[in-house]
Amino acid sequence: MNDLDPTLAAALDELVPPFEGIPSQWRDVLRRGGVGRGRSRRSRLLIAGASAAVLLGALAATSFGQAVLGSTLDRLGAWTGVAPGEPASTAQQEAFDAANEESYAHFPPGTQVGRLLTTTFEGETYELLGFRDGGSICLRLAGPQSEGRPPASCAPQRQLSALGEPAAVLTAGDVFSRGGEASATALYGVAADDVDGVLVETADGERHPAALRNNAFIYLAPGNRSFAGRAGADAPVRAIVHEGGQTLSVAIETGPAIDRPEPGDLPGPATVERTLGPSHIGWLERGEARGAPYDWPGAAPETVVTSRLVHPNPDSSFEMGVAFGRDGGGQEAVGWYCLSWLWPLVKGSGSYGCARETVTGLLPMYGSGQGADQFPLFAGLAADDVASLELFFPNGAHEQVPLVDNVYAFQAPRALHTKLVAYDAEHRVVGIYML
Amino acid sequence: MNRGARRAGTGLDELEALYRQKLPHFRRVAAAIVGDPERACDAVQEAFGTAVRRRSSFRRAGPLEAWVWRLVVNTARDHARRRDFPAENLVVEDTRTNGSTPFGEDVRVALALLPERQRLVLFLRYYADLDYAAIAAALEIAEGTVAATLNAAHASLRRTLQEVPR
Repeated sequence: MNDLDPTLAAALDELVPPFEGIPSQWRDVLRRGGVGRGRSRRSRLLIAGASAAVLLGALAATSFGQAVLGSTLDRLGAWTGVAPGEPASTAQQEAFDAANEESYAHFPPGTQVGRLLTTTFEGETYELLGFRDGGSICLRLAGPQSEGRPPASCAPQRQLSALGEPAAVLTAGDVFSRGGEASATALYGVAADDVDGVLVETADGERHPAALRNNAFIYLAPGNRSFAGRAGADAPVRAIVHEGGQTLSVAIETGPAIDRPEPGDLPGPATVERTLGPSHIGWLERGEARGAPYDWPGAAPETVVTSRLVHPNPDSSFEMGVAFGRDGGGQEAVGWYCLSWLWPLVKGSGSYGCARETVTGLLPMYGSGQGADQFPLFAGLAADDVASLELFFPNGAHEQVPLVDNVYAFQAPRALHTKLVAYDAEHRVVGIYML
Repeated sequence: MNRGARRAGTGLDELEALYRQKLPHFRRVAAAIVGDPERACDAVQEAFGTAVRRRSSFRRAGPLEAWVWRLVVNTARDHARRRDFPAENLVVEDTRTNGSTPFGEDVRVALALLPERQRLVLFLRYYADLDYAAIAAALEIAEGTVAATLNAAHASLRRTLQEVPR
């Protein structure tokens, strides 16, 4: 390299030294790629077919699926522990209530949990529970382990209906551990009334029946079968949904997003109409008492000017701690915007971090860190220049994204490319973000 | 060997050759993006697994290496995001220390403050030793943009490193 400042080059070398002595692992690549020993040509074809089907299934909005899942979700909105299914056991309800009480963010008081189905796998009992959180449908899997697992997976009912599918996977890789080793991976979701069977197809082309009852389904497999884990060939790639004599493929996407489309490839604005410069979040810097009080959990910044709790989306009980603070003093002071993620049922403050005080458009902060989550939550801060946000889907559907006190939080289906558009107060496009 | 079999085999052979030839470069760029050597190795394995699985969709509109670099970069970006709270323009709090660490936290902070494209161009240029044309192909941007982006990254890094309190 001869075009880099020697000082910077040395710093970069120190940051990431050359990799030496770590053996290559091509056989592991083949395993992850679904190329196993003795595999039939048919299996290989199924893998290629499945890859195509993931996209096609995601984009297929059939009248069959749209009508059935939409009406079913209206009924699932009545998930209050009465129907569908039956009330959760007293122990499960009490465990839910206790966790909800201990967390910083809470599901609505009095939330009733329903038991949708019970199944056993390798001698262990698993109960799939359901409840409603504002405009979202939530599933919670009770099994042999609760610590270190997602407490619940939720999806906005509006998006579930708009997808036009007869079923939707909420999480594709809820991993249970025993003795430090992954013991089982669960995939689960919701299904329309008339769905009479769900098969989960893995990357190796194999199809596995899921347990289906009370508009919910679950598939359990041994070990870590999530793509985010180390078993790519066994990772789920789609759900095959049966209704009467019909079948439909429902997309599952647990891997990285590749070949992201350009803004013009999706409906909605494709060009930025006003270029923003660095901006600020005035109320935080002025110390206004918006939202609710919140004790910033971090040791930094040195001086916390403002720390508040914001509830950014009425469809979700997720909350965000926001803070502004400074390191140093006088003209040398460095300002920082800070965020803390607060999930219901998760004790204490979640992960948090800070970014420098100037913001251009959105300060994008990706959340919901599990690759298996099919409706990840995106949340972060928007500069004062940003007045509104809108999310566009490939099928033309679009929805407003709530923006409360400069904080945004929204979910979007992982299996689809979506586009977030930011507008200023005069509804000029000031930012386009491909998700 | 029939034609179909030779085509499929060639795809795997090409991928394996690229993997064995450039693995340290792929791992190093992934480590720069992910911030952790072990997770970087996992990201590269995952990216190549994806490449193997999706090799039939590679249309040869550009070099195979550029396609694989896109997979590696995007996979590493996704791995970085899986940590719950890192993202573009974000400095996770525990990196904001003034002390010296094996990874040089000042540099990490300065890099975190760069726009993502500048970071990626810098990583591909420095850690993978790709030329401008290869970087342009990998990131699907114009070659001229690579040069401009790299210059901007250098300028920002120098400026930010001077600002970071020591």
